[in-house]
Amino acid sequence: MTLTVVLGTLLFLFRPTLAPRARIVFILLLVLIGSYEAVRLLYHRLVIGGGG
Amino acid sequence: MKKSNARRIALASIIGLAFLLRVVKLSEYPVGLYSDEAVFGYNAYLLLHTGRDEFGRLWPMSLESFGDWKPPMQAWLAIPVIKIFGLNEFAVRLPSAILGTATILVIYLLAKELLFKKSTHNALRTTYVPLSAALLLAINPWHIFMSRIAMLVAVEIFFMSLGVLGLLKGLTRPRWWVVSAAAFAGAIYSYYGSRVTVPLIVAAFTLVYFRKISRAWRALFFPLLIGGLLILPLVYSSFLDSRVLTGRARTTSIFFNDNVRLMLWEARTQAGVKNIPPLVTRFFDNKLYYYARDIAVRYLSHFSPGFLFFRGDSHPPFKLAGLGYLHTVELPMFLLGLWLIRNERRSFLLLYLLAAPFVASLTFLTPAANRAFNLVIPWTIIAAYGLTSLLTVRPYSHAAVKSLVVLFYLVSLSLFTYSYLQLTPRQLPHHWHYGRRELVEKLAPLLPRYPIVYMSNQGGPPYIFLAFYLALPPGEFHPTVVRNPVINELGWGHVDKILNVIIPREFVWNEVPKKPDALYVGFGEEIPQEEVDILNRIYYPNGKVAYTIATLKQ
Repeated sequence: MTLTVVLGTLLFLFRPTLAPRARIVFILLLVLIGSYEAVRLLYHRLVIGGGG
Repeated sequence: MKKSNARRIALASIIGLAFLLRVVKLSEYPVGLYSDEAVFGYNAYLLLHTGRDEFGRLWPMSLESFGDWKPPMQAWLAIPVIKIFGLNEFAVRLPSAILGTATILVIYLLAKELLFKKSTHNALRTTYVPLSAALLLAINPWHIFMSRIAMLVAVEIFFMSLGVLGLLKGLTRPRWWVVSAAAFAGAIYSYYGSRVTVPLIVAAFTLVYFRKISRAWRALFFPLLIGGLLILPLVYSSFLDSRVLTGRARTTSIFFNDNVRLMLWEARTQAGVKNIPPLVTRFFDNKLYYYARDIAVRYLSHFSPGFLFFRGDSHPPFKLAGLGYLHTVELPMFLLGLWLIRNERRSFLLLYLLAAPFVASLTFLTPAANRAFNLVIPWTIIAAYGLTSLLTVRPYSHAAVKSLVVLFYLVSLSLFTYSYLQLTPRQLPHHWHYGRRELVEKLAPLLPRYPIVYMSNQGGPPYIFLAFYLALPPGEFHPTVVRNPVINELGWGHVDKILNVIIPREFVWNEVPKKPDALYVGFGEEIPQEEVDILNRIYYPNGKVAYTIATLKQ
């Protein structure tokens, strides 16, 4: 979930600066990357049987 | 006394303190001269006398050195100092100490530019933030440590912070962009990582101040021309020999390292064993994700408290025994400052902070104290902002709180002093190649008396220390150095012979030729005592054997 942590931190730091539209794009990106990392983690834990 | 005079006196005192902390006992601490420092010193000495480096290249734009292609600025700066003080540790390290001290003035001006403009805060705070930033940097362990060694980054962050200052000042007086362009070129010649950090910082600046810059676009022509002209020799050299551009990356970059490729291979093999369709495997285990994650993990490691406050860099020679690089008391001040600049939308300072350690995350030895060193500038400004904001707001402006903060800093500084002067020399003298000077001093009278000397390669490449401490004239160095044509898997070269000294790549006692008239120099306990007559020994400050000088038993 490292990329999600990085993106989340960036969103937190720049939230007051970002225009509303940019903020929405950023949040969507965060959700996308977060979901990918979460599914990937499940795939590795449940299907492959490792830490991923 | 006028306020401005008091401010100047305070700033001058801080700079004076910073200079003392950086220059006192410069040749003695760190305890030894690291091999890279010896490279810069000796190449500066050769350039001074012949204009050519140790490989005979005329004013090279990159020093091939051990195969790691070092940027040349540290050697260039050492040339006039060596001319005055001679070839010694003090002369090699002095440029770092001077530019490290000059960075205190730069951070003062930078804090003014970054935090003063359109500041809504009270005058008291705006007076003290730049002074606090200067003071905090003056007593910053990381900055003191790096300013006392000739290892590129102290010089680089002087140029880098000056470049950033020029960018900001240029918004009102575009002539400052010329200073900025020259300073960034200086940073590029000072440190390999600047080739990534400078474009990142300029991009961040453009992003934040795009409207202001576009209004003054005509003023950009001259700075771009100056910057372009200054880096032209480097670009030209890179065309002639690509190693000038990529030589260092080959020995440090994650893209030249097999780590990620091996992880990917392992993941795909496991998926193959489970009969997972290739499309699914590629979706979850692909190069893009693995590299992005690797870079992110390495990037975050530079903000970990363990690295910053408690353990520091684990790789030689940048480790401080038992400590990190920043005062722990600064953490709450930094977090407060970060919260304030976030809410005040000071985006450029935030981007400066975030861009500073990025280049380090592209290398495989992380966290790295030298490659992430740019972090110290935005960190200090933000911490100074937090500190000043805290101490100028009631009830924290009470004298008792201020005294407590001062006490914490004094304790932290004492811990650093103890680690730097006592613990590190005793626990990690080998990190600094301690003993090479003492060894050469003892060897110098023996060299003419023995036809051949076999010397261990351990404890720092011996040829550069022999050349440095004997101050070998170019006429003696070039004809006697024999370089091994084989470059090892990490990109390091090797010198097989210098003068009458033979340096086996691996000094294994059983394999070293045994000659009755030869002299042997072993590292630690490499030479078995029962087979030799020991002529001399060099000991570490902790009493352990560093080197043994011996002959075969007659």
